[in-house]
Amino acid sequence: MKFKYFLPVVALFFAFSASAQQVEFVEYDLDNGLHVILHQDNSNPIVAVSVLYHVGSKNEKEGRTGFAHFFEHLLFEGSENIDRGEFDKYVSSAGGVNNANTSTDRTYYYELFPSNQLALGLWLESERMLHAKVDNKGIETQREVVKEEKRLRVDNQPYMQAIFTDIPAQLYKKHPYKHSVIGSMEDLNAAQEEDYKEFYATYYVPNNATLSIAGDIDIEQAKKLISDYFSDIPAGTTEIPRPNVVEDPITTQVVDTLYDKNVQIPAVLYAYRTPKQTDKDAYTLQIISSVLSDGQSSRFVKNIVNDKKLALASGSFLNAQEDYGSFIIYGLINQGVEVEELAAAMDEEIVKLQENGITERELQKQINNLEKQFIQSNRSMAGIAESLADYHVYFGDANLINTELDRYREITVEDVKRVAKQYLKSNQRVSSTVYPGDDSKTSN
Amino acid sequence: MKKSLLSILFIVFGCAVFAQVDRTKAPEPGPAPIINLDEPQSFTLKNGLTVIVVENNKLPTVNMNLFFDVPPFVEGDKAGVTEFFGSLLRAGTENYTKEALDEELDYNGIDLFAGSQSIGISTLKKRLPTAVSLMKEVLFNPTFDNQGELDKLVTQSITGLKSAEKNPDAIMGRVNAAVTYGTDHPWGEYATEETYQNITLNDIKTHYNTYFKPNIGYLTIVGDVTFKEAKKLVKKNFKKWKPGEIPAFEYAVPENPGNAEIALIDLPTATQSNIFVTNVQDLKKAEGDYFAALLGNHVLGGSSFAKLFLNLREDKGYTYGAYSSLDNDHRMRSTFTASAKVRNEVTDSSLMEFYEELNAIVNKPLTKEDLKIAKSERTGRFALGLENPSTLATYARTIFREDLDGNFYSNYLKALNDVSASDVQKAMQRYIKPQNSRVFIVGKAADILPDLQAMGMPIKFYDIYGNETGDPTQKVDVGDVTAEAILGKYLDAMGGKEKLEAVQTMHMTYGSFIQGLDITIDMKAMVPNKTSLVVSAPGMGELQTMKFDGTKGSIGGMQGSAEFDEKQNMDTAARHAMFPELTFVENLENVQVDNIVEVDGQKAYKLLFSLPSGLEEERYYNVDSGLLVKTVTVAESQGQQMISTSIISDYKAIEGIMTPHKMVTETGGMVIDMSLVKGTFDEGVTEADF
Repeated sequence: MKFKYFLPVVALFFAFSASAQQVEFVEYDLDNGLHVILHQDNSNPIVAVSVLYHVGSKNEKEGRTGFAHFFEHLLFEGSENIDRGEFDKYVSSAGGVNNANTSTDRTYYYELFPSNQLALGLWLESERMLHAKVDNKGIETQREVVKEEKRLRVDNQPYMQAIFTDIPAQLYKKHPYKHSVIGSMEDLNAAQEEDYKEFYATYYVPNNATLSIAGDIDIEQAKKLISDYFSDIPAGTTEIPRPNVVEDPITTQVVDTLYDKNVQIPAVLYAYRTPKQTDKDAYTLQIISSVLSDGQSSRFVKNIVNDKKLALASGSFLNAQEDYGSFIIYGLINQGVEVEELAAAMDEEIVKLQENGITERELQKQINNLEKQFIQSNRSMAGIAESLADYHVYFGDANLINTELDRYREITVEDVKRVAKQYLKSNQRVSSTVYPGDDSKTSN
Repeated sequence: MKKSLLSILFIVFGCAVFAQVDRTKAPEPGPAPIINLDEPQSFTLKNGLTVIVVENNKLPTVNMNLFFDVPPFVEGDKAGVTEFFGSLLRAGTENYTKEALDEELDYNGIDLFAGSQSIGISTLKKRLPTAVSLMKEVLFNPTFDNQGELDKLVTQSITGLKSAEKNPDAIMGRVNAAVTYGTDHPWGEYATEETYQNITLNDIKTHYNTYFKPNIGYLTIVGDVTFKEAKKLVKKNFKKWKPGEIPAFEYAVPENPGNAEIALIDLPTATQSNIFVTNVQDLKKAEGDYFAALLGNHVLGGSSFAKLFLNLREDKGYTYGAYSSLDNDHRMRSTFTASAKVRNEVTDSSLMEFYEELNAIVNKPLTKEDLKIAKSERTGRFALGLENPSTLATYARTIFREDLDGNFYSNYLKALNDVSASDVQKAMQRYIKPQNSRVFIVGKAADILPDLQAMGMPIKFYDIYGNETGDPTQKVDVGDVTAEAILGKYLDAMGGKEKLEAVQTMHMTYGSFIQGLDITIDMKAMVPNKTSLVVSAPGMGELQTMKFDGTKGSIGGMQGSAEFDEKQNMDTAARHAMFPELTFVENLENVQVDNIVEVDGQKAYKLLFSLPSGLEEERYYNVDSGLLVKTVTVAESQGQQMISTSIISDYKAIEGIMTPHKMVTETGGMVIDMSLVKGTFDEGVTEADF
C-alpha cells in the first residue's frame, strides 16, 4: 500500500521544483576584482553581455554634476583598437543590439547578440574597461547629444523639472542625491582633461564592475574567454569613494510653488524621504504604492480620479535607491477643481491608510501582482543579466533573483500601517504645487 | 595653469597591457548557432477555430491570444468603429460591470487586452482557470451598453483629430493612403469628426456579431501548458461556439502613375518638408524573391548604417534620419516607401539624393561587403526575435493565414544566406519603381515649390484631406474688385461705418477649455487705440495679460513679463482699438487685394495690410457676407517670428453690431477654441482698465 503513494509523491516533488523556475547561475571574482556572473540557458541561440559599473551621479564631485551620465556617452566613442563611431557598427553588423543607461547609483552597458558573437561582446566591453579613447570632437559631439537629451527628457517635458531637480534639492540637503542625473550643462562645460582621466581611473576599473552574462553559453568556455579579455586589466589603485552622508530628518513640511512652461495642468506633488532600498520598510512602501495606484481598482485611481473626479490622473511611485529613497504622490488637477480640494483628497487617502491600514485582500492582491511582475522580469536573457548584476551589487545577494518575493510575503497589514505612519507624515514631506508658467518665477 | 578643454586633442585612458589575445581586431564569430524552431502543434475545431500551442515551461505563465482574420473592409461614414471596439468590448458584460471586471483582473494579476480583431490574456499558470473564465465572459457575454465609455472615446478622438490638424505626420498618413488607394478602399479611408459622431453602440455590436466568429479565429496558446492540457481547455470552452458567415469583399487595385509625379500638400506652418517616395508593389512572402527583396531594402534604408541614412544624414546633414520600408501583404498590393523629414530649403536636393539611391539600388548590384553585412544583421534580428516564445506562434499563424510552405520559417536563415547580389538587383527592379513613383511632400508650398518645379517632374496638389486642388501659391483672378469695396462691404455688414465710429468702448468675454483648464479671456478696448486682454482660470487667477495704454504696451503673467517692442507699439498705436478696418479704409495705399481662397469651405477675399512697422497682416473677408472670417498676424520677438491664425465665425448682432461668437486661434502649436460668454459696447470700461 505504501508504494502506491510513492510515485505520485515523487512526481509532485518534481512538478514543484520545475514550477519554481530557479534561475541557476555561477559567480566568481577575477584576481583584478572583476565580479563575474554567468547564467546558462541554451534554449535560444542568443546571449546578453552586460557590465555594471558601481558609479552613478551620487559619486560626482561638487561642480561636476552630470558627469557620470556624460561619461556613459563618451564610452561609446571608441578605444585604442576601436575607431570613433565603430563601436555601434561592430554590434549592429554582428546582428546585435546595444545600449546603456545611468542612474544615481549605477552605469550600465549591455549588448544582446546571436550567441556565436560572445567573444565580440567581451572584446568590446574589455576595450571599454581597459583603454577607452575620447578625442575632442567626441567630447564636443557628445556634449551636444547630452544637451539634446536634456531638452528632450527634462526641459521640454511637463513636471520633470520638479521631479528631477526641484524636489531632490529639497529632500536632500547634504547627500549628492540632491542633484539630478542629467546634471548641469555648465558643469559639463567646465570639465578639464584631468577630470576625465580621474573619473575613468577611479570608477572604470574591474574592482568596481560586474560582468553579467546570460544566455546560450558554455560555462567553461565562457570562463576562458572572460579570462582572455579581462584578466589583464589592472585593478584600480585608488580607493573608490562612496558618499557616506547622513541627512538630518525633515521636521517641518517644505512648501514649494513651482512654475513650468511645459505644463498645461497644475499638479500637486508630495515627496517623502524613505529608507535605502535594502531596508524591509522599502519593500513595504512598494506595497503601499501599489495599493494607492496600481490598476484601475487602486485607491487613488478609483476614489480620486474615477469617483470624485478631482484629478485627471493621480498616483504614487517609490524611487528606490542605494542610500535613501523617495516616495512621491501626485495628482493632476481636473477642470474646475481647486488645488486645495485635490490636496485635501490626497491627504485624506494617506490618513485613511495610516489609521485604518489595508485589508488582507488588498495585501494579497499586491502580492499576486508582484508575483507576476517578478516572474515576468525573468522572461528575457537581458532581464536576467541585469537583475543578477543589480541584486549582487546593491543587495549583496544575486540569488534574490529567486527569493526576493519572499521578502514581500513576510509583510503584514500591520507593517503597512506602521510604515505609512512612520514615513508618510505631513511634517516630513516636501509639498510642491506646479503651475503653468515661466520657471524663472519658481520660489522655494 | 589648467589646460582648457579645446587644447585637448586626445584623452587616452588607462595604460598598455600585453593581452592574452590579439586586441587589435574584433574576434571572429563562432560557428553559426543552430536555431531551434520547434514546430508548434496545432489543431482545428469543427467550428473552424484553429488552435496553435507553443509549449514553453521556462516561466510559469500562459498567454492566450485569439485573433480573428477579419478581411479589410470599408467603414464608410462610420469610420472609427474598429478604433473604439476593443475598449467597448470590455466595458461591461452580463455578469460584470466595468468596475467589477477591473477589480477581478487586478486582484488576480491578469492582463486582458481587446481590439477590433483580437482578445487575449496574460496570466500566471496557476490563475489560468480564472483568466480563461474572464476572457470567456468578455468574449461571449459583452453587453455593449456603456454609452458613457463610447462618449468618452468620441470626445477623446475628436480632440485628438483637432490637435493633429497641422501635424505633418498625421496629414502624410492620411493623404498618402487616400491618394494611393482611394478613399473607397479600406486602406485609403480615414475617420473624421463626423464619422466618429455617427458611431453608435449598435455599430459596435454589429462588428462583434459579424466578425467575432471561430471560423476565422486563430487561438494561440503560449507558455507553461502541455498540448494535451491546451486541447482539453479549448474543447471545454470553445467547442460550442457557433461559426458564422463572413462577408467577402472586392478591392480596387491601386496603380502607379505612368511617370513619376510629385503630390504636394501645402502646410503653410511647416518648418520641415516631410517626403515619402512611394510606389505600390506586389511583394508577398510566398514569392521566390522575398528574401532578396528583404535584403535589398535593408541595404537601402533598413537601418542607421544603410545607404539613405549615410547619404542624407551622415554625408549631407539634411535630416535626422532617412529610411525605407518594403511592405508585403498576402491579400493585396502594398507599398514601398522611402522617407525623411528635411529642412525646407533642401527639399529639392533631398529628393535628388533619394533618386540617386533608389536608382543605384535598382541599377547596380550590391557589393559583397554590403550583402554580407545585411545578411548578418537580418540573421541576428531573426535570432533575437525568437527569444519571445510568442514569435513561434505568430510564425505558425502566418503560415496558415498566408498559405505558406510549412518550412518557410525553418528555412528562413538558409534562404537569406542563399541570396546573391544579382538576386537582390532583380528583386529591386521588380518592387521599387523610381520612374513610376508618387513623391508625397507635406511642406510649405510657397517656399519649396519653385525649386521643385525646376526639377521638371509633374506636380499635383492636394489639400490635407487628400482632395486634389489647384496650385495653392497660384492666385485666382480677383477681377476688378477693389480694397475699398471689400472694406466698405465689411463695414456695412457689421452695422454701418457711422455706427461703428460712434462706439467708445467694448467689453467681450470669451470662455475656452485648454488642456483640462476652464479659461476666461476678457477683452476690453477703448477709442482710439487702447486695448486689454486678460486670460484667467478659476483658482489660479490671471494667467496672462496684454495691455496697451495708447502709447506703450506690456505683457504680463506667469509666462514672465515683457514690454512691447518698438514695432509692436507702433502698429498697435496706429490702429482703431476695435475695428481696424476703420483705420485701413482711410489708408488704402497700405491695403492690397491678394487672392480669393477658401476659408471653412467658403470663398473669401484675402487682403494684405502693410503695417507701419513693415510687418504684414492677412485679413480674409467672406465674398458673400462681407464679414471678416480669418486673420493671420505675425509678431516678431528676439528674431523669432510667431504666426497666429484665427478663424472667426458665428456672427450675431449685439446692439446692432455684428459680433463674432466663435473664434479659434492657433499660435505656437496651441489651439484655443473660444466662445463668447458676454459682450457689451459702451458699458463699464474705463481708463483704469488699460
